[in-house]
Amino acid sequence: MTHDLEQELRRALRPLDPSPEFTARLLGGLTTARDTATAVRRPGWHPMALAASAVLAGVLGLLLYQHQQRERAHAQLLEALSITSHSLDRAYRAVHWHGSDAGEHGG
Amino acid sequence: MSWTRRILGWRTLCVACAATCLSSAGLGAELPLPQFDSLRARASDSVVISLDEDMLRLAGQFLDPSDPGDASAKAAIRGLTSIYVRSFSFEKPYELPSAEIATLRSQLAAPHWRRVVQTHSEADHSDVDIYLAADGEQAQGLVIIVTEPREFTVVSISGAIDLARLHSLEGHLGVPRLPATR
Repeated sequence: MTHDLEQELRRALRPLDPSPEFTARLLGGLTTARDTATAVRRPGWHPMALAASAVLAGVLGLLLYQHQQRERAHAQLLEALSITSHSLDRAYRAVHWHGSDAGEHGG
Repeated sequence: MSWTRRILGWRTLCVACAATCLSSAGLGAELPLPQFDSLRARASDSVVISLDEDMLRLAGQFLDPSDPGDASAKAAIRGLTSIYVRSFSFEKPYELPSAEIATLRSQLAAPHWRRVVQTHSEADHSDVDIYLAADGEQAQGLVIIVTEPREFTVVSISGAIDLARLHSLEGHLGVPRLPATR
């Protein structure tokens, strides 16, 4: 009796391949669900992330360029002033030398 | 007849305006220097610096007031509107670019410009000329031309120039301080 019941259950619950209609319906449903999810997601983060990256890269590039420009101007200014001071120094020395030379010759 | 007079009158007015504009432009005493490309090609070391008012302002923003050299530089450029430097060093004696120097000297003419220092040393074959453009008692333009056997330097500065301040840069920017008297 118990054995029969068990056999009955095994028979009733045996694995069955799905019917082709069921498979087609399931796959159709999955495709629709995936399309809907993609359609909802697409207008969101991709273009915005790209735009944000481009803006960030632009801002960083501009900051770097400005920094380089300032550093270059700074270095050029110090060099220019150094050469100016050196040239004035040359003139000062020459005038001083001529002055003392004239003084020595003059008296 | 009256049209001819009118045209002549307008022409005279235009010429007068142009002369006034040129004269007021000259008061700025900005003298951009030539590039001296012929020297640059042969020099072992060359420095070509052109700092207009905007670049000076930019460089001034970057100066650190806590650094003595930067603080001196900041004080020195106060009131300046441009700095042009051309400096060339050579391994062998070089030929002066006479055409470019003649053009430069022709711009440094009276009444606006005056040569205030002219020195020549036979011993080391060097010449130093200093030209000044002054508006009243305030120096508005300064040009220094240093010619040595293996070095040629021209500096042109415009704006409200304080020579004492520029000279005070000695010892701050790698230039050795000279004894006050000898």
